[in-house]
This record gives sequence, structure tokens and C-alpha cells, in this order.
Amino acid sequence: MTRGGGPLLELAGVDAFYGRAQALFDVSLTLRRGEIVVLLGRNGAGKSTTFKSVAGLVTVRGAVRLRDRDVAGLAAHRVARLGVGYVPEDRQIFPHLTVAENLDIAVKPGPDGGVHWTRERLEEIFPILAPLRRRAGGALSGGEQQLVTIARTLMGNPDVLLLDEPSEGLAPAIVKALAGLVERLRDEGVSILLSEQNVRFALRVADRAYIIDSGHIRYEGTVDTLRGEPEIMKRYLAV
Amino acid sequence: MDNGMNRRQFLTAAGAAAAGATLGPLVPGPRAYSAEPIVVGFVSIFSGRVASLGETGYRGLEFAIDEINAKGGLLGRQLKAIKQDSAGKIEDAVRVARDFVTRDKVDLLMDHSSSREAFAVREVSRDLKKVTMVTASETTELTADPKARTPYTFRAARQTLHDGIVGGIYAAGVSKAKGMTKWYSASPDYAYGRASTEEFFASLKASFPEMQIVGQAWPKLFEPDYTAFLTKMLQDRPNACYSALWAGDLVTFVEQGGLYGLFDQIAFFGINLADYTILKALKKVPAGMHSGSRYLTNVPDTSANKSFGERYEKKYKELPTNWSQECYTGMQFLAEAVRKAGSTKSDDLVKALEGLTVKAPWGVDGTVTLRKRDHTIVNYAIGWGQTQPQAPWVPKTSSVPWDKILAQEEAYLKSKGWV
Amino acid sequence: MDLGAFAQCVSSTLCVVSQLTSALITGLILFLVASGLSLVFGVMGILNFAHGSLYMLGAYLSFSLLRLNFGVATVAAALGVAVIGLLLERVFIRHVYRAPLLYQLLLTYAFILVLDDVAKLIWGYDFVSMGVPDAFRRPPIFIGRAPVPAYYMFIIVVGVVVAVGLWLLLTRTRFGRIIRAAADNPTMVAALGVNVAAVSAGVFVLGSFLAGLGGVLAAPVRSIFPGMGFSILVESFIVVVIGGLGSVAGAFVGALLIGFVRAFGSVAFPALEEGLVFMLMAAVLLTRPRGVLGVGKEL
Ligand SMILES: Nc1ncnc2c1ncn2[C@@H]1O[C@H](COP(=O)(O)OP(=O)(O)O)[C@@H](O)[C@H]1O
Ligand SMILES: [Mg+2]
Repeated sequence: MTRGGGPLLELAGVDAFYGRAQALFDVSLTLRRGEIVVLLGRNGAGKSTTFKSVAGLVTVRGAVRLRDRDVAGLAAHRVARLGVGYVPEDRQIFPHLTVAENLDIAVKPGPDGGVHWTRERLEEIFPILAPLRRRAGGALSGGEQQLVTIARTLMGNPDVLLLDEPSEGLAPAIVKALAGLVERLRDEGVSILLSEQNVRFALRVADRAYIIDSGHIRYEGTVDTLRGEPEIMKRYLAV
Repeated sequence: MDNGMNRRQFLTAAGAAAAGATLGPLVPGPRAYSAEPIVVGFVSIFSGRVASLGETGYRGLEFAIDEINAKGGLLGRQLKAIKQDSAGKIEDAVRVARDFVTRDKVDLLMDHSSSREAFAVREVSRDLKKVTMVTASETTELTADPKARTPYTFRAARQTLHDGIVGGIYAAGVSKAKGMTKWYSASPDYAYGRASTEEFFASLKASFPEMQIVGQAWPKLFEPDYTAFLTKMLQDRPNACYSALWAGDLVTFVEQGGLYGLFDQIAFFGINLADYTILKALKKVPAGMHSGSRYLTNVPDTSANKSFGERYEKKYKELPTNWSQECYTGMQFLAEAVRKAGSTKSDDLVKALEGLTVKAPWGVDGTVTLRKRDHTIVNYAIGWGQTQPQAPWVPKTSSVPWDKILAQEEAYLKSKGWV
Repeated sequence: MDLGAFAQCVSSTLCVVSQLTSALITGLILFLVASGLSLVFGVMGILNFAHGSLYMLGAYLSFSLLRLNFGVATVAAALGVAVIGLLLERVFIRHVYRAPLLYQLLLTYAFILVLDDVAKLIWGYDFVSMGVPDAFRRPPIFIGRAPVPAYYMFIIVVGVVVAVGLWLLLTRTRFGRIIRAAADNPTMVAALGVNVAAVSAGVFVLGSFLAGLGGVLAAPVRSIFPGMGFSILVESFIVVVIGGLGSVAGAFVGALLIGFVRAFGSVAFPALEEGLVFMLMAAVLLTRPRGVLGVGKEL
């Protein structure tokens, strides 16, 4: 699918704005097919804004390229139909809909027209989904909600998954399971851009990392290189 | 849009400007009217379910003004009306009346509001000492209570007490003949509806003491749905029902009552039924309902009344309403007073208006009078009769001589402590 | 207050059946209008003041189309209002979704004035009365000793069918689920690939259709006049407050509650009928700010 040899997703010189306030400054990053890339940064650094820039939920200047096509400024539903699956940080499950209904809303074919994920397949990967089917979204625990929102996004067969702080507020055991899940998804052909404050979790699953601070990208490198830079981690991350 | 007046004003102004620009300097000849026009400020309801109040009332006023202007105006001046919508809101009616006097400097006020607003506008008239002709509010108390009377307010509209007295006497006759002792009422819940109902029953009771009131419904003004009241009435099983509902409210009530077959079981006495807007709005005018006359070309059955109806219909392509004739008559009173007084000063006008008699199509002997004591109109035609489903809708009406009405009125006012 | 009369009423089938009819027709017509208002508010966040005017247009259209045939008039008038709703939404209202509340109110309030004037131009300033169609001009149906007008039966049947249909639509179809989800979180729905603008237009059309249908059903038994939309708009707001903002089930409960309060309130508290509805609203606001079912948005 990746035509022209470019990365699957690429931000080049992106500025983002909330009204007049600028939240991102000249942000550039790439995600290649089959990669797990993590965006690290403190609270308020600009991680979520970066994701929203891709998902079409914030005003941007600069280029957001998906498979070499510029999607900056497209409406959110169009970006989603081009294969971007966005899982926001605060979960945003539909509280009055059952789990089954939450999943049903998101059903659509992938960008290549194929259907990779079905409810049956998802229930196989997320064994806890099946018994929750008839429960209202609002009645689930935080961990359950996180899994349902990820599963919900997968129903739309994305090939890029944007996971905004998936481990936030989850018990350690669940974070561990989550790491396994992320890797499994990558193996199933979904490329993943992840944001995290939980450095341990991030470094465990990701191939490459970016560090963002005050809306600027301050670091780019492989996870292994970053491990050898405790100074940088101290300066930009709460470690 | 509906306000032809503004368009006409605009055309007049535009025409005058054009004429002045081209001919003005060349033709210094005499102008027909050297003075400013005499202006009447008309406040009423032009929107909502009773827009016909304002619309048809204003036509009556305009009709009178056009006739007067065609004969040369008043004191050498043309007459002119300006109108404004109060939307039936008390505060808006008060504001409009005040603005008319203080900003537009009108010479005369015509208050064609419902009783809800009329009491408040009366206070404006008192406060600003501006002669005000009330042409719609029929509530007796407006002029009858001596403690609240103002020198400047006059009423050329029916008074509920007069209609109620005749209605009560008429209903007593029907009740005796048919043994209808159990009475009900369904009237709007505000001053007018309450007063009208009380006065009707007082008169009925005076002539037919066996009657008793078994229930009363008080829907709010402009109630959209009367079903709850109608079903309650059906259960209470009265023989007859009096109603002071009016305009669209009355039509809706009759339509909804018809669905329950209400009028097969209960004799209906609607004081406001026999007015053309209502008779025409009803898809089927039920036969055998009892109604007071509002405006009918045959009440009184005189050539003057018939001719008024015909002239009006020719101009407006519809028959006048009771409101049209009241505004028409109100304007006749004002015009005659201006002529007599030779001025538009309030105190001169008050003197001229008190006890004034003018010709009017609905006068029982061709004239009506503004009674000196309480500034309200007397000697107008009041008839009660039964409906039929086609024109002339209320073919025969019976009436009561005015000396009898006045005697009974006096007794009632005494009981209220108003004389 | 007259509790004796109330007790007497409750013990007589005649009284119960008639007041029940009254409660149902008032409540169901109100439900049709209020459910649309609530849906539009829930999904689009727009408090559409012109919603009552759509009810008025339904009544007028049906009045004009009655010449053809009652069935045709009913369907065509309601659909006609739906089309008018679509035009309003596409041409005007969609531009103010993100605008400050005041702009939305100004725009939709302006439509009340414009549509009232349009009605005046076309149908005249005065009220018109349609009367029940000939098919329903027959003696009332008797349930026990209690008469129920044939046309009221019709209103009740149509109202209930539409209410059930709406419930099935919202719970059993994907479109319905999307509507409910969008009422909670339209941004998330869009991020899942759903064209929320199209859904909004659809909801607006649906709401307009329901308001129009309310007007169509009411037309034969209420007088029709420019401005008639306003009082039902106020009542619909009350329903939406009672039922919970954005909740259709709440609107159903709220509308019927008002119907019952009116019908039985006129027996028990004849002097207070009007105040009762507001008291009901105040009580709900104080105890359950999310509405009786507790599922609406907080005020
Ligand atoms: N909806 C918003 N309106 C205005 N400013 C916002 C909004 N969301 C985030 N911001 C601001 O943008 C900056 C980046 O925020 P965000 O991207 O949410 O950071 P992170 O996800 O890294 O915690 C912060 O300064 C934040 O205050
Ligand atoms: Mg964030």
C-alpha cells in the first residue's frame, strides 16, 4: 500500500492552533509501515494536539501526509475513512450505548476496501469483550473502557492507529496486557503512533521515539539510543 | 406585507417630496390643507390568534377616517391614524400608548386592546391627560368603578353588563321553557371572562331563580386545547353552558366540543358567537346555538346598518366585525367632539364627549350616546337568537328595551357598590 | 383545590376515560413536537426556537392540502415540513453550529418572525379553522359510558405508532445508534468515520417531520394562526427540561406527564391548572437536573 516509497504517515512543519493560541510549532515526525513510534512529553507538551492534527480535529498549518496524500485540513470523518484510527486519551466511550452498540457505530471498511477486523476476531484478541457486550459503556471500569475504545476504532479497519496515552490510569497488570496487545496489533499489520508519559511502558513497546516539549519536537531517535540519554529524559520527561 | 398604512405613508411622502422638488417653487398656489393632520394613535393586537382584533378594528377606524377626510376633514385638517402592535402584552400596550403621546405627539388615542391591557392603558390616559377612546375592552369595571374612573377615558365598545343582562333575560326565557336548571360556564380566565360570566348569571338568576351553577371552567386566554375542560363538563352533566370565549378560542372550543357531541346534550350560550369572522371560520356552524349579536347586518334591522355593512364590504371584500363597528363609532365620537370643541385639547374634548350622541349603524334608533356619568356607550343594539348553519346565521333575535336594561344595570351596580 | 372532585373522578370510569383521552392527545401531540426539539438539541447542540414554527407550517400545509384528501394531506404536509427543515438546516442553521449561543438564538428566533410573516402573507393574518375531516365527523366511540371522539382515537393511534417507530429507529438501527452517540460526543463519532454533518441534517429533517406531523394532527382541532407555534414551543421546552436535554424517552415521559397534569389537574385544582405545569418543571429541576430518567445532559 505504501506508494512512492514515502512513510505511511508524515507530519512536516506542522503548526497547530486553538483559536489564536498556537500549540504546535514546526512539528515534523514520521511513522513507517509496521512501526510502533512513541511520542513522549510532559502534560501539556502537545502530544494530544499532534494526534488531533492528524485526525482533523484542530486547525493546522503545514503538511500532514498519509501515504503521500496531504490530509491537513480534511474533515475528521474523511481522515478516518482514509485509514486513520484515533483513540483519544480520555477514552470517550459512548456511555449510553452498550458495548456492542459502541462497536457497531465504528464499522467501516479499511482504506483498501478490505475488512480485516470483525467482532468475532476482536473478541478473540480481547477476550473480555464478549461478556461485556450488553453492558452500557458508562458502566465499565477504566481498563475495560480503554480496551473497548481500542476495539471500537479497530472496527473501522485502520492501518494507522493513534493511541493517545493508552496506559494512563490503568493498573500495572493491565498495562502489561496492553503492551502485549499493541505488539499483537503491529503484527497484524497496523502501524501505531503512541503517546505516553509512562516511559517504561513506551520504551518497552516502541521502535522509535520523539520527545515533544512546549509544542516543539526536541528529540528524535531509536528507543535504544534514547535509553542511553538519561540527561534528555530528565530534562523533558518526568522521570 | 400587511401594513398598507406604512406603504401608503411612504408613497405619500415620496410623492410629496417629488412634487415639492419639481413643482413646489413654480406653483405657490393654495394647498388644500395648510395645517398639520390630526393624528389618532391606535394600539391593538395585530399578531397571534386574535390578530383579527387589530386588523378588523383598524379597518373600522380607517373606514371612518376616509369618510371624514372625503368630506373635508376636521377643523380644516386632515385626519390620520398611526397603529402599533402590542402583541397582547400589557407592558407593550403601555409603552406604545406612552410613545404615541410623548414621542409621536398624537392628538387622540384609540385603545383597541383586550381587557388585559386596557386597565393599564387607562392609567396612561389618566397620567398623560390624553383623551382615549376604548373600543374593545368590554369589562364593566373599566368605566363603572367610580374610584378608578379617569376623566379622559371613554368607551365606545359594548359593556359586558349590558350584553349580560339581555343574555340573562333571554336565557331565562329559554330555560323556563325547557326546564334547564343546571348551568355551567366556560370563559377565559381574566377580567373580561370573569365579569361577563358573573353578570350573565346574575341576570339569569334574577329572572329564573331556580337556576344553579353546577360547574365552571376557566381556561386561560388562548388555550390551545379544551379537551380536559370539555370532558369535565360532560361528566358534570349541565343542561346549558354560558361562554364568554371569543375569536379563535371560541372557534376551537366549538370545534372540539362538537367532537364530543357536546352540543347535542348541552344548550350553548355564546355571547361572542355571532360575529362574521367566527361564523365563517367554523367549518359547520351548528344549528340551534344561542348567541348574542356582535356585528350582524340584520341587528338592528335598519337600512343604515345594512348600508354600513355593504359599503364596508365593498371596500374591504369582507363584512365588518363588531370591532370594526366599535372603532368606526369611536372615531365618530372623537370627530364630533373635535368639531364641537373646535380644538383637540383634552379638557375641551372631555366636555364635548360627555353625553355626546352620534349617528351609528348599530344604534337602536340610529344613534348611540356616551353616558356622562361613566363615559360608556349606551343605546346600541343587543339581540340574542339562535344560529342556523347558513347565512344570515342568526335570522331572528330578541331584545330588551333599554330602559329595562338600564334599570337592571343600576341594581347590579348598586350591589357592587359602584353607584 | 378540590380533592373531593378528584377522588370522585378517579372512582368513575367515565371521568377517568375522558381525562385519560385528554391527557393522551395533549401529551402525544406535545411529544411529537418536543421529541424533535430534544433530538436536534441533543445532537447538534442547537436550541431551535423555530421548531414551533415548523409545527405551525405543518398545520397550515395540512389545512391547504385537505382539499385533495385527508390521507394525502397528512402525509404530504408532514413531508413538506421535513423538506422545509432540510432547506433551513442546509442554507442557514449549519453555519451556526459552532457559533456562540446568542447567534443561534438570534438566527432561529428570526425564523419565528419570518415564518409567521410568511404564514400571514399566504394564509392571512386571521386564524383559520380546518374542522375535522368528514371521515371523522361521526358520533364519538363509547368506552363504557365515556365518549371518545373518533378523531382523537386517530391522534392517539398515530402518536403511539410514531413513538414506537421512533424508539425502534433509535435503538434498532445504526442511524439511531449514531444519533444517540452523537448526542453524547459528536467529535468522537466523526473521528470514527461518520459524516456527522450529514447525520445532523438527517436529525434536523427528522425533527422537522415530527414537528410538522404534530401540527398536522392538531390542525383539525385547534385554530391555526400565525404565531401558533410559540405556545407549543414554550411547552416543548418544559418537556425537554422535565425529560432531560437530548433524551427522546425523557421527552415521551415529560410530554405525557404534562398531558396528565393538565387533564387531571383541571379536575383537582381547577384554578391552578397553568401553574401546575411549571411547578412540575421546578420540582424536576430541583430534584433531578438531568430530567426524570436521569439520562439527559445537565442543565
Ligand atoms: N481545547 C484546547 N483549547 C485551548 N488550548 C488547548 C486545548 N487543548 C490543549 N490546549 C493547550 O495546548 C497545549 C498542548 O496541549 P496537549 O496537546 O493536550 O498536551 P498533552 O497531550 O501533551 O498533555 C497546552 O498548552 C494546552 O493547554
Ligand atoms: Mg494529552
